[in-house]
Amino acid sequence: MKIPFILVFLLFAILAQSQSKKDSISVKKNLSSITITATKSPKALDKLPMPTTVVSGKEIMQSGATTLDEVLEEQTGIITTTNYVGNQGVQLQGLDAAYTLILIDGMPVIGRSSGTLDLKRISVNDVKKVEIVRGASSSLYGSDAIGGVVNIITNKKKAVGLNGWISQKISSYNTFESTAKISYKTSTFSISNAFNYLQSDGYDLIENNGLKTVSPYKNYNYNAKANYSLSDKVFFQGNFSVFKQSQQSERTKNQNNLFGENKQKDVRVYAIAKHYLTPQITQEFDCFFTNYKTKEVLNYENGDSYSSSFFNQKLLKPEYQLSYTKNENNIIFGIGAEREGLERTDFSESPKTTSYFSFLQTDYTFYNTLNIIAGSRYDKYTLYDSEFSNKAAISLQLSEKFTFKSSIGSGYKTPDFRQLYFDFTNSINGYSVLGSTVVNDKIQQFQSEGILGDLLIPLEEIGSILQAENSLNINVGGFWEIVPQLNFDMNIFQNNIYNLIEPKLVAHKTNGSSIFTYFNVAQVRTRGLECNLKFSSNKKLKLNVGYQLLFADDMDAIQKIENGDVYALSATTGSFRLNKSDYFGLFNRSRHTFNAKLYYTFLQDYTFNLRTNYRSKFAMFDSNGNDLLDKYDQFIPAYFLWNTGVSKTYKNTTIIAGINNLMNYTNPTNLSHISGRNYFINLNIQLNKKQEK
Amino acid sequence: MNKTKFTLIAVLAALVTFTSCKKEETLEPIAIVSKTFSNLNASNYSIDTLGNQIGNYTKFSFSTGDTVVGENWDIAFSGTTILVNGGAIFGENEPSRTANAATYIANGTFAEITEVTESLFLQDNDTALAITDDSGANDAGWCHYNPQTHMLTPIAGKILIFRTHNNKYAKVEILSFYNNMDPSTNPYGGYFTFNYVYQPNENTLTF
Repeated sequence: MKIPFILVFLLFAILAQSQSKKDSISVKKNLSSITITATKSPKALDKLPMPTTVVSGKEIMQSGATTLDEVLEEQTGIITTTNYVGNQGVQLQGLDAAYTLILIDGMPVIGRSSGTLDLKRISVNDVKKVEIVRGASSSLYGSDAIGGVVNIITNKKKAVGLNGWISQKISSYNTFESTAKISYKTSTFSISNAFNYLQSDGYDLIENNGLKTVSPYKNYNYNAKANYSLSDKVFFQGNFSVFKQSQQSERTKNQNNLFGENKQKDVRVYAIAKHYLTPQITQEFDCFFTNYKTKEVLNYENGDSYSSSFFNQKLLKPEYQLSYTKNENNIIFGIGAEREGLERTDFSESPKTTSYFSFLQTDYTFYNTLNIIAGSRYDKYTLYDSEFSNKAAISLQLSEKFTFKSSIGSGYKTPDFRQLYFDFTNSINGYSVLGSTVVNDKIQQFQSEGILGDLLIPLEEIGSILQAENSLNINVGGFWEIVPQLNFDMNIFQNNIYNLIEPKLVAHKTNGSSIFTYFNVAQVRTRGLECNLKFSSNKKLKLNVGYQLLFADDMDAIQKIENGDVYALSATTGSFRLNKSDYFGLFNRSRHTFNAKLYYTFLQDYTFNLRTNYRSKFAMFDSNGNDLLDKYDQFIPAYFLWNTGVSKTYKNTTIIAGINNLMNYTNPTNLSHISGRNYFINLNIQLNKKQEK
Repeated sequence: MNKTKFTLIAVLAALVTFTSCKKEETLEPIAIVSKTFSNLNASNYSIDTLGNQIGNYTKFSFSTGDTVVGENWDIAFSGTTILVNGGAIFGENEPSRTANAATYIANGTFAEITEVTESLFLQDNDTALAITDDSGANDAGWCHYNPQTHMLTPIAGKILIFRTHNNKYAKVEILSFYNNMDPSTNPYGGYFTFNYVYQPNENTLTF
């Protein structure tokens, strides 16, 4: 996959174009929503060859969702996970949260902790739609886009004049959310200001342990946008947003309860200039800057200081794009740079890196039925090998009713700064975790200090240069319009990830505590099937059903089982050897997930909804002494979550009331992000005269 | 097939009966001891600031099949640490080694480990214990530590082979680290339940 096959394709496309008949394409008027994420250019959802889901703002509002995780967890094949620092991420195609790229209006969100970006900090109160592209997308987006890309597209006012919007939401656990938005628009200029405040008491699933499951927090969001058209050919856009959160910190470390405060601040600024050189050729220059900061103080119950830590990440990303569009065909070229820096506690240095990228993608439709998209991207890094990422996607309309879709793409994820520069020694039991650039010097230092015990791997093999984790993704599926009211789509996927980075024990200190560093070692494979059945009858009744079958395996674990080296322990009969069929797969993966959403409109402006999510059994850790998950382990039983709500629109006012987690399902030890039954009521008032859609 | 097997057994049985009838005074092989020892209490330890376990050791003897206080011990337990009565003292509070016991860890199921390999035996010494005690952090010894649940599980398929203080052999499979095998009642553990087979016959390297 190291050859930019786009060049071959381009040649092919040019030849084909010169031979094909001139523009006999009668563009079928379609009402499908226009997407942007999968191709970086507008394209109708039903024309896209890549498996893509679009969640509308209306659907989000009706669900009573406050943050992005709540939106995503109701989508087919997506599962919300919580990592050990409490960050909420998502699994996409069975891949860990670290492997999905999160964008807001096409610009990356930064500030991952242990690989997971906390989706709880992304508000969805002013969202037009959320686009989810499944499968590797590094050929457009570079690093991290292995499992896919989630892009949150915020509202842009279209109505001219002064517009306002206020919203007030009250829900269980003393949660209040207030939003006020004001915008002004003329034919050439528009400006909008939105302010959002959210406060919650959090919740407590395990009482009497002295700690709350989720501590009280306050969030502030401010967003300002401005658009200006200099002429009908030149457009400018500016955006500034700030997110701030303060939350009480409560944690247990080595049997001590610790209390303190955690503060987060996320600033995002960008400017875009767009120029139509001809009706077909557009050039665009974007400049994006973001800064994510956290500060946490933790004290013992008696007030003594336990720790104080900070995290400060910055990203500057200028990008230039040139695109050519004619009918449904598009060629897009981009070039840019990323300058990234991080300062944080427990780091050997404050790394700063610059990388450069360029990409090229063509989207060409042959004979009105065959659509081929091919793209390549080159990323130049200084710390590790440069990356070539490719993607090819095809959709073939076999009949009026049936479209075949397939895509193949490569993805990668660069080692994160922690894996390179971490210099951490636990203050209580002395173990050390060292980044790959630090570990060599540090071990030599321990040696000279006389505190190095045994070395398990020769020093020259430790601290090898980490390379990016690589993946190959294949999707094969299609879309079938059974009858106009009933549609079915299906996708079979496979992801192979190589060079997975994992910590490994390399030495002991003389006091017996361990020294870890990172290596490219593991291989993981996820494969499965995702499908959706959608029914709608004259806008009154809508039913969507989704299902995912998933097999997610650690290839090394399978190898070990095949070699006969894996046993399981039974407390009554002792150890026994495992067969390959006993292996269940990776932790925190469910074989089956299912969702159904029913929307029913009655008395003209009332809409009732009932939604459910099912997750089959899974396990978070090994319980029978072999460090992997087999069918003899203890599993968390399958569960259903039920949500319901009703909304009514009267003139400019919409009221939505509902109950999420109707059956009050909780699992305090393993699924701390599920809060229990949650009642909400939400009042939205549009302050302009004409309501716009 | 079955018939021949049956005949063989019958002949063998007859032979055994005959020989034992003839020579009453010759040593007949002592029956192998195969037992489960439940809830050996090794929980009387504390953890110092460096995370090291400091505490009293509970000594066990395969020949008596019980905990002992004298010098006739084979293995001694404290927390996750297992000592063998052979070699030299490694850490604080350890009982002194009075015999030539030794140990190694074999991989397999309890039933399929039927032979002792003398060359693999290790003894405790002042730089390392024969059975590595990493408190389960890296699966280098007999147990695995789960950082999410803070629970210790014996690693499946690890069979501990011993040369005892009286120069016999034994094999051990640890089943649980918790009292009555129930971590919910004593989350810190320190109670060993294990299967063991003791070969009481001299110079017999099989079980």
